[in-house]
Amino acid sequence: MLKQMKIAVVSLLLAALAAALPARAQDDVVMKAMRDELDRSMKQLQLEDLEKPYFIAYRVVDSESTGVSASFGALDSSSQGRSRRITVEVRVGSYQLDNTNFFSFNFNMSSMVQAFNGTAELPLDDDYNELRRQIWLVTDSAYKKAVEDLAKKRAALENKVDTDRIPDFSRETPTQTAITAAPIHVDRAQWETEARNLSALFRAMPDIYTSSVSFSAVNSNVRYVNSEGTRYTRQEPRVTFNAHANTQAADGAPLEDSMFLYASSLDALPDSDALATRVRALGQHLQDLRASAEIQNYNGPVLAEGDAAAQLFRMIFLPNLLGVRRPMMDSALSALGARAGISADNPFLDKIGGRVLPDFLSVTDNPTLAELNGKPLAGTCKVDEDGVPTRQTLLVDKGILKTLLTTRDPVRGIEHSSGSRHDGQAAPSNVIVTADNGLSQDDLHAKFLALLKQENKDYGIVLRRMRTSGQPVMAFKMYQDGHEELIHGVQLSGLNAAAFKDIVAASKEQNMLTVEFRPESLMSILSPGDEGFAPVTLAVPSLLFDDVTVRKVRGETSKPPIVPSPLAGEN
Amino acid sequence: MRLTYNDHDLPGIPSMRRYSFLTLLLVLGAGLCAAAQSVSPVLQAMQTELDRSMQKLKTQPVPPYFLSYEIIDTHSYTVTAAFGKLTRSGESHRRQLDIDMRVGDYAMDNSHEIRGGLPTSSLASFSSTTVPIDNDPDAIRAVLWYHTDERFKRAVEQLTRVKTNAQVEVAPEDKSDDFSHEQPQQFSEPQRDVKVDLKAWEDKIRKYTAPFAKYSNIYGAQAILEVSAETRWFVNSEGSRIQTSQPTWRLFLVASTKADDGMELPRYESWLGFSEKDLPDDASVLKAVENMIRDLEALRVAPVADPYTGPAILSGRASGVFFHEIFGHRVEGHRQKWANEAQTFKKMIGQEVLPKDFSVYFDPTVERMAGTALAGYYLYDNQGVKARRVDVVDDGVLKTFLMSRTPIEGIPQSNGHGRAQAGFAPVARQSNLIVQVAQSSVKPDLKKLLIEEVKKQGLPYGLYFADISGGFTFTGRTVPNAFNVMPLVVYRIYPDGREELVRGVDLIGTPLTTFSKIEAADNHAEVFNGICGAESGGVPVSAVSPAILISQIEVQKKQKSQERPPILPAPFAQK
Repeated sequence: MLKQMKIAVVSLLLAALAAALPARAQDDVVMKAMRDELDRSMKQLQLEDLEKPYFIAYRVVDSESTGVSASFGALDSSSQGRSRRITVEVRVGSYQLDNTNFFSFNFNMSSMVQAFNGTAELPLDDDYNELRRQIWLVTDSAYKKAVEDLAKKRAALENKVDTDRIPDFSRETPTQTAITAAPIHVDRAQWETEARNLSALFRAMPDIYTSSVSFSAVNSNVRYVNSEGTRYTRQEPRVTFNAHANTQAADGAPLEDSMFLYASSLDALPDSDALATRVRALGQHLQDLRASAEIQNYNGPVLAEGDAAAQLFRMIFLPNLLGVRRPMMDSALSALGARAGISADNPFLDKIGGRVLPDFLSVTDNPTLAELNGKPLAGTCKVDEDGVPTRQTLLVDKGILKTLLTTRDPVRGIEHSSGSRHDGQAAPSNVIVTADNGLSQDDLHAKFLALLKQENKDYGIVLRRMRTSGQPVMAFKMYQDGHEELIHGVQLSGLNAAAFKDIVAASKEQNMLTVEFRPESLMSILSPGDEGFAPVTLAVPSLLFDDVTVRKVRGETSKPPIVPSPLAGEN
Repeated sequence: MRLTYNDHDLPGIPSMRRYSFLTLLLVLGAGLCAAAQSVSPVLQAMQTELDRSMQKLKTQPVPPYFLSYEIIDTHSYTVTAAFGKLTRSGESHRRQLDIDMRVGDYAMDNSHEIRGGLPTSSLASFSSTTVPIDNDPDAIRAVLWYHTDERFKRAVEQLTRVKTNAQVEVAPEDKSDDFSHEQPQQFSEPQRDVKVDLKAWEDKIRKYTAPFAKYSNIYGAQAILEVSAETRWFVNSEGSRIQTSQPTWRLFLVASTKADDGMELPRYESWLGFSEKDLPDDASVLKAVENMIRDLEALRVAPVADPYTGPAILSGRASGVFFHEIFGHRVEGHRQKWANEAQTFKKMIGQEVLPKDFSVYFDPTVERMAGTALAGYYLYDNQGVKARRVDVVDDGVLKTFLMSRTPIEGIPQSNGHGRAQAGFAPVARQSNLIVQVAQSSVKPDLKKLLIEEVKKQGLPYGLYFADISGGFTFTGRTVPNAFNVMPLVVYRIYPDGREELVRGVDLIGTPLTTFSKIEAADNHAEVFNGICGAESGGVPVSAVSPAILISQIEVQKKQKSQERPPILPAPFAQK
């Protein structure tokens, strides 16, 4: 047994060595500068009698981006740019207790300096000495902040009784990974023409007040190295297409809709004709909404289908599945933070092992899958931001919460990273919700109507599309005879994660939705990645809720424009 | 560091309402030719939509009495390098729209100050609207239309608030109108674009910062080339129709070190011109780089200044900043009206505010002076009012204020100083400030006079301010009415004529007393060009002044940075 283990260890070491060697040989000048400065800092960086760092990580992101946007047939902007930025993590103390998971604010330093501590612009030119200089300087200031934070944190801890003190950093097995992908080559002039043409479609719709169409492409190249021996390089091309339009209903209700398409290559984006069809449909839908009926208050069964099912799940349920650690605060700040509600803990931390969904629903996060139901998944990746290998995580099993997605910042009850760090915090990748004995669409409709009948309702509300702001933009009244009526100005009231436990039925088929996942934590907002936010694909069945309050959007809205649009042609 | 070189960075400024700062930019200039040209499709679209809006809104219960559109087209190139290596290089093109929508009448409209409430921050009034960069009249009109409607509704709402406030509050001291009557202006100069050879400039910018690379205790060293062509189209409902177009080339160097005690020590150099050939040749820039390196090395080991009260010389550039900060901001017209302003000079027209040999005028129509281009040069302000010279102080006596179209008591009209950065509402701002000294106060050797004064006062030394950067002035009522500029290079001048560089000097004091202590000037005018930030955003300005001798100034020790120099030696120094 012992011998077997020894062999296993040796072979593991050999495998690691084998993996390390080619990577070392391939080191480019940037990676070499990162590694050399990392080695020097780990050995020598120390302020008098204070501690040396026990962990340093460098992440350098090269990004090359192209963006084009247009409205009503004319170009609004067109740009192209390159940047190279480094983010440094310096940890002082120990895995058990270090300078992180602590939020402090130094009133002697300008807020700009603090916000950008640990990040720096690097030269675009591949020059070893210059890269070393910039990495040296940014490491120095990150280390100084780290020792200061650790001292403050220790002082703050002395005054506190911490009932469940958990480690600040998890230990993970070092890995070496190289992910390559073909970069996107954009013909900017062609995109300009296409953006003009697509945006010009709104000229024929004078009821649309403002609109825009935009393309963007980013080729990012990430290099990562840490003092534990983890290293990765990741090339990631991303293309996005956005269209947005707004108008108002006669009653003043603001109406807006947008579409977001994501692809990892130009070919994967729909062709011009298909895009035109979708842009036209977006405009047409807004025009239909203008003419649609206003909603009355409604309490009863609601069926979420299509985009709406996935969006609803993403906005209301998914955030609870993320093991985001609440930072400890400086005593001066913690009072402020408590008032602002920053200190609110994720309620699901205490629900592990408990029921959070009906027993026929299960949720998995799976970054290892490239395709589902024949469609590409956008959140696929081999390693996360920390270089931790990604894996499938069963989050909810037959309605019971199993675990949360985590990073190397452990949360109560979860010691290790699930390989889920993106944009600085725990984030989903591909979220797959499955229903045991899921219904066909017809059966689900039948069930919905039966439920309505049981409750003596003339009609029920069906949601088909939602925007990221959380307002349904495609909602219908569905009557007993099966006919539907489009409604506008719809707002869901009081629908929270707990309500998902009461879902009464779900479809067999999954609705696929890809969005950019925007982390909600304060620190992540301060340091948005140059490469944009990580894409997430959700596959969620249509969901039938038993009892939801739906009401009219409240709040003051201004009246529709007094003068007709110049595009209306009546001048 | 509140030094800026780049207009795009300025949206951060509104939070610094009522502070203003000036930054260094040295200048060279080029000619400007005005010629008739066919009307731009952009201007035509603006005119059409403006006419239509005025016509259609006429029947509203509270119709607009004035409407103006300004579209600012900026085509720019930026190249940045640090320590000899490229960090950024790119081109951008954008158009921004500003709308001035007024309801009520010239006497009282929606712009009227609401008193007794919370001060409205300029951040709240900042609104940047993007306009298509294609010359597509319909697409441009669609944007104008939507935002005109929005602004109209807001204006009507605001007028109701204004009227209520006027009934509730006691009558204001200053009963002047809200908006001045001005002659409509028609002007058009050809649109001038810029073309930058990015490859060539990338090499130059690398070359300019390369000499810093071998110094292990210089922690920042950047060169920035900013080239932009700014075309402005303006139309208003009074019949004004203006097209101006101005290319600007700016080259900026910034480098910094730290003393062993952690004090940040920066140096700046900059050049400004209206064409590429106005920028200095490589040899001149490299010479300046050499001087910066020498200054930084000297500053790093220079002794820290002690608190001091006594005589001082301000170089022409330093004096320019001094006048801009402590004098210029206090003669901006609207500050005499707004209730929460200190109104330092409000009642002083006709009185002596400077020694009688000193005059100060502002002249945006001067393109160059003392061999350099002036950043505060323009032909029409952002309210479409023709630029003109304004003599603010004549032989020491205050004559008038800088005026936008917001009248103040006794000054009913604009004098072409209503300025703003795109997205902000214009207020009275400075242009080219020029200090003129009568012959009787011009002394060829200020140093000799300084030494005499030092001896007379029995002091160990006097001070010479060779260069000053940034600085900010509080003109509000709730903060002490003091100034604070940031000297970069200061020498002690000993009675034996010896000069000693010191670091960490902060110039402090109360403005009015400082003015009265100006004793003399030399006969060598110097130009200071920069971007001044205040409530209407960043605007390019310049200040021209000879060196001046002040019999008494007060300095304090500068607050130093908490952070010490890097712990490890530079990686390349360790090999």
